[in-house]
Amino acid sequence: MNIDLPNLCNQKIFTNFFKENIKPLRNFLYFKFGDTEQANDVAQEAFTKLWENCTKVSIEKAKSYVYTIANNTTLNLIKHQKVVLQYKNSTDKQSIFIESPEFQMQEADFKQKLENAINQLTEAQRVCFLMHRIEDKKYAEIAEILGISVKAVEKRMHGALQALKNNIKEFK
Amino acid sequence: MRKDTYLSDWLEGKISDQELAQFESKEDIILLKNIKNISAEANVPQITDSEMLQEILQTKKTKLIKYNFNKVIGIAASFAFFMVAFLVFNLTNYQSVLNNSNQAIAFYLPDQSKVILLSNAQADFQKLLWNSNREISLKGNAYFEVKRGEKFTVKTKSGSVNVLGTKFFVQSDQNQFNVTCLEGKVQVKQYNNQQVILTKGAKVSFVGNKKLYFENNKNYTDFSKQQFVFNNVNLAEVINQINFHYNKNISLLNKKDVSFYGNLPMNDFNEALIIIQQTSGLSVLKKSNNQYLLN
Repeated sequence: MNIDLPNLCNQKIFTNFFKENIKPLRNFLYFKFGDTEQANDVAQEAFTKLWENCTKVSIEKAKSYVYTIANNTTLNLIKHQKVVLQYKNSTDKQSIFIESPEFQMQEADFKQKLENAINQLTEAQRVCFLMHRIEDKKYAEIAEILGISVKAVEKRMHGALQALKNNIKEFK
Repeated sequence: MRKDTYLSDWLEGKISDQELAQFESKEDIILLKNIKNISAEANVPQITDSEMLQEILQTKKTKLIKYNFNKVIGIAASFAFFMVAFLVFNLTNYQSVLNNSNQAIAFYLPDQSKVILLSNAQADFQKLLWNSNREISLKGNAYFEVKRGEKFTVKTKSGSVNVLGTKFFVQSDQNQFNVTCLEGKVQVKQYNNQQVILTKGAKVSFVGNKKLYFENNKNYTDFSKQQFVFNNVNLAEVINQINFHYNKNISLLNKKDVSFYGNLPMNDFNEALIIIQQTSGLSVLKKSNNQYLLN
């Protein structure tokens, strides 16, 4: 065995991996629970386990490892709380909100309604949707992380969009 | 277009707004676009990842001490195990054959070489890798029949015997060290560096450091044939040996200088007596159970 092969026990390598993956993992957990603290805790636990077992996990398998640990840890945890979305300061950016006479809704209003609607999605839909929109993950990536097929992801996304649309329409 | 996933197809850009119009109304398309765009601008609550990282890296440091302790225990334990295994190995590998009966006992070495240990003799050797290291330590007297192979060495207190052949007899008592070669060749080394090679029938005897060497051995014991071999040996000497061996008392009345040539069995006294009579021409008179007269 080549001792010089980079592995996760090397603090530098571990740190790089951590920095690359902490937000996506923690956000995924947040999308699931809507609870920041819990999301943080579970994510930290997953990375801690990885650090402890650094000799047993290859770099290629590390990502799937932390997600698996995180998923397993969450099996017993509490039910969903509200996901709270914040918005970037879009002063430098042009807002792409389309005002529609039918809705007569301001952007701020819409955002609130959207947040509520997101919180009413099923966990499956919510997680997929937010991972796609906020985390910018492709369907294939989402499928891999959740351990489901791409088709299943597509169905959930479709379901999410439909539900969101109907929800917001209802409360206009 | 797929009915149950057209929205996700559209979201991904697989289908255009125009194509979407097949399924959705104009207003709904606007709504969907807003959903698409606004959700992309959203953030999740911030995370202090550097703090988290520090905490993660810390855990190992405290665990490292525990680990090292376990490792030390592990090493101590494996050392202890190794020692025990070593001892057990030595106990089962190291063989010691002791004969403290008054009969000769025979046993075989791992390569099927035969050893006959006379009474009050002891032989020690190692079983493992015997064939590449045939070395046996001897106290007392023993007869060896060595199978063909590489070196075979008998070590005694006074000297060693290297077998170049097959059958020989070693005597190692008190101050005496005798080797008789019965077949093949034997190299005898006395520990003060005297060395001798014996061929069949030759015998060497060391008393202390003095070598007494007999060529054309006149009198030896052939264990493989279970007989005493006498080549021109004085009859008196023959009788002495027979008396000693069988624990009998044969008296030679006529103290003439009679030479004896012949082989006498080791396990049949009557037969031996008959042979003595026949070759010497003398007659036997049995006086009691153990006493005989030769005339």
